[in-house]
Amino acid sequence: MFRREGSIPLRSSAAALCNNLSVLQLPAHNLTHFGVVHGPSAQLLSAAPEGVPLAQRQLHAKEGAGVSPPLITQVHWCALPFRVLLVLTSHRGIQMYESDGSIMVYWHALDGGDAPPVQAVFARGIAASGHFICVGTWSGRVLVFDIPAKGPNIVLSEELAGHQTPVTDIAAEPAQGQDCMADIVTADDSGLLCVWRSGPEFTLLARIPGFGTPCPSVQLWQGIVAAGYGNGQVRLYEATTGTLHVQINAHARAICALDLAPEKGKLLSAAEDTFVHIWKLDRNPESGDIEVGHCHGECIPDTQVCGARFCDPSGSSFAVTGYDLAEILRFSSA
Amino acid sequence: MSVRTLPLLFLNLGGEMLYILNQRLQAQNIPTDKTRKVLNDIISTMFNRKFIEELLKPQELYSKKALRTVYDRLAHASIMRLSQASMDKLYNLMTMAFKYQVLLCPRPKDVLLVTFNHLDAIKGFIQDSPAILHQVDETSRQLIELYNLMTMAFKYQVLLCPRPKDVLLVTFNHLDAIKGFIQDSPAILHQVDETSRQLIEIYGSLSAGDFQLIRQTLLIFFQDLHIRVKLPMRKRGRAVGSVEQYHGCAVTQTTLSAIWSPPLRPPFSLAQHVDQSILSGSDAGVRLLSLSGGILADLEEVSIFLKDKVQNSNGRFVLPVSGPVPWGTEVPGLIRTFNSKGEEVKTAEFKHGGNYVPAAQEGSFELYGDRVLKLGTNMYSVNPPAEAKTSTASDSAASRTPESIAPNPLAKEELNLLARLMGGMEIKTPSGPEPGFRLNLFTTDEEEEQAALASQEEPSCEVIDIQATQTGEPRQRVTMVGLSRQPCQHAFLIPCHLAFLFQDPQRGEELARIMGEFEITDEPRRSTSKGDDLLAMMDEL
Repeated sequence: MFRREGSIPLRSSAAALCNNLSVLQLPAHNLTHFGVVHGPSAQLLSAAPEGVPLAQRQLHAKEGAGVSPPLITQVHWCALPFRVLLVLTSHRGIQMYESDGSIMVYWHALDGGDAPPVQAVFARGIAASGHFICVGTWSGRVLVFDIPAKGPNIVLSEELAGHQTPVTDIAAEPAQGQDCMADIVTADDSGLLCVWRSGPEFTLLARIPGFGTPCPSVQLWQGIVAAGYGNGQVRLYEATTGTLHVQINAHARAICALDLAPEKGKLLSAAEDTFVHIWKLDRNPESGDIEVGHCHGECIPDTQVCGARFCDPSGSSFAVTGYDLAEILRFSSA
Repeated sequence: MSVRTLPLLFLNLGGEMLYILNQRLQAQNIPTDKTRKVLNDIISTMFNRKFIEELLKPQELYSKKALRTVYDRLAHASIMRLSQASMDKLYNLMTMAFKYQVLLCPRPKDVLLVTFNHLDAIKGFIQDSPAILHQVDETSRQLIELYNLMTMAFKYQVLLCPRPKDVLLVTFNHLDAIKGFIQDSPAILHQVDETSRQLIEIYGSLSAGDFQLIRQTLLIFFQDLHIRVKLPMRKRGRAVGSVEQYHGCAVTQTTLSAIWSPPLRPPFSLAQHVDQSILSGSDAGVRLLSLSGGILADLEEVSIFLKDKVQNSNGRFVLPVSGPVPWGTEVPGLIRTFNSKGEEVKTAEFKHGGNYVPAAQEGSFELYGDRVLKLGTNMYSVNPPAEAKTSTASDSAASRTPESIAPNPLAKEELNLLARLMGGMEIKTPSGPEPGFRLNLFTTDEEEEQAALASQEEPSCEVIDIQATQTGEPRQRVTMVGLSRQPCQHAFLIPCHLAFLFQDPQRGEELARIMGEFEITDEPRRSTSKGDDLLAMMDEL
């Protein structure tokens, strides 16, 4: 169903982080932007459909006082209704750039002052909903930034205190503006999920408790929360109630990335077991219950996958990064 | 990244270093008392209480260069001396072995199990050293340490953690092994045990997410390190048969053996002779080691076998997609659907693509116990640790019985044995009264010198080849298969970490600064960097 396409070379290999691939689709220009974290640096590149890299850019975390250069934890493009920003999180703070990475428009330093010395301080987990960008932190707090239509006048508008352990990932409802009650879901190291309704003040709708294993990646689609766990399971919940509907023993190792193709309701799961699986989510027309089917499985031999994303809204192509691998692998359906 | 990573990195790399040194020392017939002194001195330095306490404080990882300097000091804590090139080789072996172990950890917290494996092995090293206690200066120091350890013994029960973590088990494996090295030196043994207890205290309470961060930090430390273990061999052109002569080494599926020329003699017990013959590099004696028939299998096939089982041509490790799943993980392939009342309404299966079996049991995170996980145990020993579980022939499912959580332990063993095969070790009898000796990780002095030169000439190399070289006759250079195609024959000597450490100029400057500080060890202690403190402490030991 899917076949391998030409891969895109990277200047330096991908670091062993979860969700270590961000994709921004620009159908108008027939271009795709990719962002991958190397460690102390992150690489942005844009590629034509054939996979030829056209432009490349290296980003670095802002230097701090420490001896070692700060490590980047994630890069992610946030598509707001009126502009696209690139957000970079590190062990120093949060950096927001114009979408091509050329100009840094905002810098938020992390304050580790109240942190015990045993705690590593970092930001991780990025998502946009409406005119807000949410970024998770080591303490469990989620920072909500209010983004103006243009210019650098970004304001920290709220801090959400739903988590007690480091935030791992944040997802937003792709079909915004509809009647979705829940439009943000946050996940943490303990596996706890918090479902939020965004707005001038965020409302906590549901808490879905963990079960002793982290939740490194989470997605939200039409009121369905899809969560990938450290024990290789994918679970689907009703977002507003937190009810468990589907439990998939999907992978043999920790899941490191989930992604959603909103047009078709396809779910991508990638794990450290070298496998990538594609699932189809549905709602039973009669009962409204969530259903799922397995569509495709792909083994990336000898690659500890660290990032995976769909490259188009219908889920007919996807890209994968792997630890120590200096290329982006691409697959598309025939 | 995680500020809890340094102790695990230090202990596991130290364990790997001891495996290699122990193997080399034994294979080279270094007098037993000297071997024991070297191991005891190094282990004693490594587990010095103050040093361990400092190490266990939350802190960021050292730079690769700083950590390397620590191991330089550690390797020279005794009467043994290593050249720069040999030290480079040793360090590359250590780091590559531990990178492999981290990469193949089924779960993040299995790194801990690897560490336990190393500790267990180090304990074993000290096991057969009766002479060590008789060294007066040693003894006095050990008495003090023993006292410290007695007072610490109260902590023991408090520190044992009821809820174990797997990353710790890996570390414990290393520590268990270390204990083996020092069995007859109770003081040092206690030092190691104390370290185990402190590990249990600190790491036992960490969450799976903490361990994930530790593992990611370790992997970032090892990122872009691609030492390619190659097995070169050359046929000497005689007829295949019992008198066939080879230069080089061969590996059979069942075990590793080395065969080369001349002359060929009747088969010997591999276990008894492989080390000596492979590593001695002397001109005398029997060169062929053979198992029961079939040893002269196609050598090229052997090479491919190794490559397929352990590493790819690009230096990446082979990741297995079969065997037991991690403890706490279900075998993939099942979809369960629930209705809104929480009742299971449907189950369906899907084809995952891997071939997994359920996890057998969780490894022990206690001071003593079966770690289950084999990562981090001493794979350099001729007789590897006995496989605990033997499946009975009558059990039809025996082949499916998971022997170990470690995926493909055989492959791991081969990787390490390969590394062991690399180059001989040469001991120079010192001319002066100094009772020390020099350990050479190369076959000949010439190779070592060339290697040192090569490392100066080519400061960076992306893929580093380890050539498992062996000359059958002394001082005879053997052109290895594939060697000539390499731009740099001894590329593996290049401190590979430098290549990417210095990829960023700013970082390079910082490192150069730190390095400069390390060199001025005579000056009064300064606390300009965290690396300085530990190094100074090690110097004072």
